[in-house]
Amino acid sequence: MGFKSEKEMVEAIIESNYIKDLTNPGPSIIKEEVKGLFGVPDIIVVKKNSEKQISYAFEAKLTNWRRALVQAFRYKAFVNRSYVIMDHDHVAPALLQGERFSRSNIGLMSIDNTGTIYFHYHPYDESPYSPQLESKFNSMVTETMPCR
Amino acid sequence: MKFEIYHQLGHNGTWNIDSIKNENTGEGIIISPRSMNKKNTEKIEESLRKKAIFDPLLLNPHQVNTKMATYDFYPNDVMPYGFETKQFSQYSSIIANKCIKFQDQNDFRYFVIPTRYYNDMPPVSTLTRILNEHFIDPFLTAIENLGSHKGVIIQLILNSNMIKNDEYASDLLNWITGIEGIDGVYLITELSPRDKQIGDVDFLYSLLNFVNALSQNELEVILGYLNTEALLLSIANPSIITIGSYENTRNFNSNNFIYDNEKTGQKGPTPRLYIPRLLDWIEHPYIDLMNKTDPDYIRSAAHNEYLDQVLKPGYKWHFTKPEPYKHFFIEGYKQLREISIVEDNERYCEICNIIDSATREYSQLKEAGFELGVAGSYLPKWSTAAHLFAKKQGWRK
Repeated sequence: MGFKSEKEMVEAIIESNYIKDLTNPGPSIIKEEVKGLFGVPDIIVVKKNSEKQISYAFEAKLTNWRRALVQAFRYKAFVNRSYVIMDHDHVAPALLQGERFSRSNIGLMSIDNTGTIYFHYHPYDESPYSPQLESKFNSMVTETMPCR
Repeated sequence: MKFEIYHQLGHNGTWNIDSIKNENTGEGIIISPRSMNKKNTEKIEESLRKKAIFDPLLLNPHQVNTKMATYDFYPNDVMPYGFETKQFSQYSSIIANKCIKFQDQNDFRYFVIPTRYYNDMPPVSTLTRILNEHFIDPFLTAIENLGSHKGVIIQLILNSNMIKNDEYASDLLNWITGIEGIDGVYLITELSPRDKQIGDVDFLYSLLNFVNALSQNELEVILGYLNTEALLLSIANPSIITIGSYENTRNFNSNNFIYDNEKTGQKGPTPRLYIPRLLDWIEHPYIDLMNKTDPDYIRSAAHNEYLDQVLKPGYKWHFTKPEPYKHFFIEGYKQLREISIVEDNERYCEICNIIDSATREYSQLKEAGFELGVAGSYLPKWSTAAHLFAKKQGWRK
């Protein structure tokens, strides 16, 4: 049985081992619904180490992968990696469009209601495509917003 | 008929005026008291003022903003207790005389007779009775009393239901074409709700027919508050088409004329740049991406000096900065000017080519990994409206 709401899904993603692994060890930030950039990602994660910083954006959707893909593509303006996470029960139509995810370099994952994450397409790291929004994002996550 | 291109002035109208003067991006301006006070209107360089169209802006007679209050013809100034519909007829001649006197003193291109805005569909007989009584009769009398032979334009603001209803539109056309002493119509239409681009085929097709009918009746047609659909509407043979800077000059929204609700502190829109080959304004992060992935594309698609400025490293995009708008004035004007030199069937064919080419460009961007969502989704609808209109004109089987 799938998720009842995107909110429930977002909570499950944040509690998942994938996010725990992503944010540990070392300093990292997790935020929900970061506004004021280019779209509003459900979750952003910034992982830092002494050498570099990698930023991730996640768009969670129960069924509408098309809208999620467009939204996730916007987030690439300010993060290094952007993902769509679908309800695992409804990911099949998105899997048929793997080429679109690959050519736009948007990651595709799904999550079931046990919190298990399934990886379908891994994007590679890219510089955010909008220098202005990248700079704004970095200021927002590191200076102005409280950590979760 | 070759059409002229006018700038619909709004906030920061000096950007438009500078662009016309320095970059030759238009034949004239439409002045709105909402964004230009009386003193500044009078200070406009004579050569430009004489070609200008002055919109008296009485569409919402309950409301004046601070700039409008500098003029002496608004009901709040003339009527002792402010505007009241029932009392208006008693004061309409005073308002008409003052407004026409101002228009005459400034020697604008035409006399413009203002109108009211209705968001519903009053019976045509009621609507025309009110417009005749409140505006057309007193203004025509005021013009006649002056003894001027300058052209007279009536303003008309129609909502989409009015335009889309054949019988209603036909009755309006009968009324307009029967008004003695006018030379044309300054037509503004409101489609509500609407997206940034118009994707309502019925509305576009009906509007094309309405404009064409006016033109066929040898009336000049000035189309105000147009976004890039200006290109499509040009096949209906208007006399003047408008371009503007901020979105509120390219998309008529009656809510923008309610001044006691002037909003402050609202987040501005994401700045955009007009890409003529895509027939749309594209959000700036995508412009950055285009520049990053294929700098030759963006330079070939929309190159002028303002493109160089916005693509400079460190350029801070903001919707209040002039460069994207000045860029549009050049590119939008160029595109419309090229279309204006061909006519009728040839113009229709050329516009279809532009729409088809834009559709192909969106497909190519998608192939290259750009996920732009609904961008370009209105284009097939524009084609449909153009084809339906062409069929009616006998340009297409």
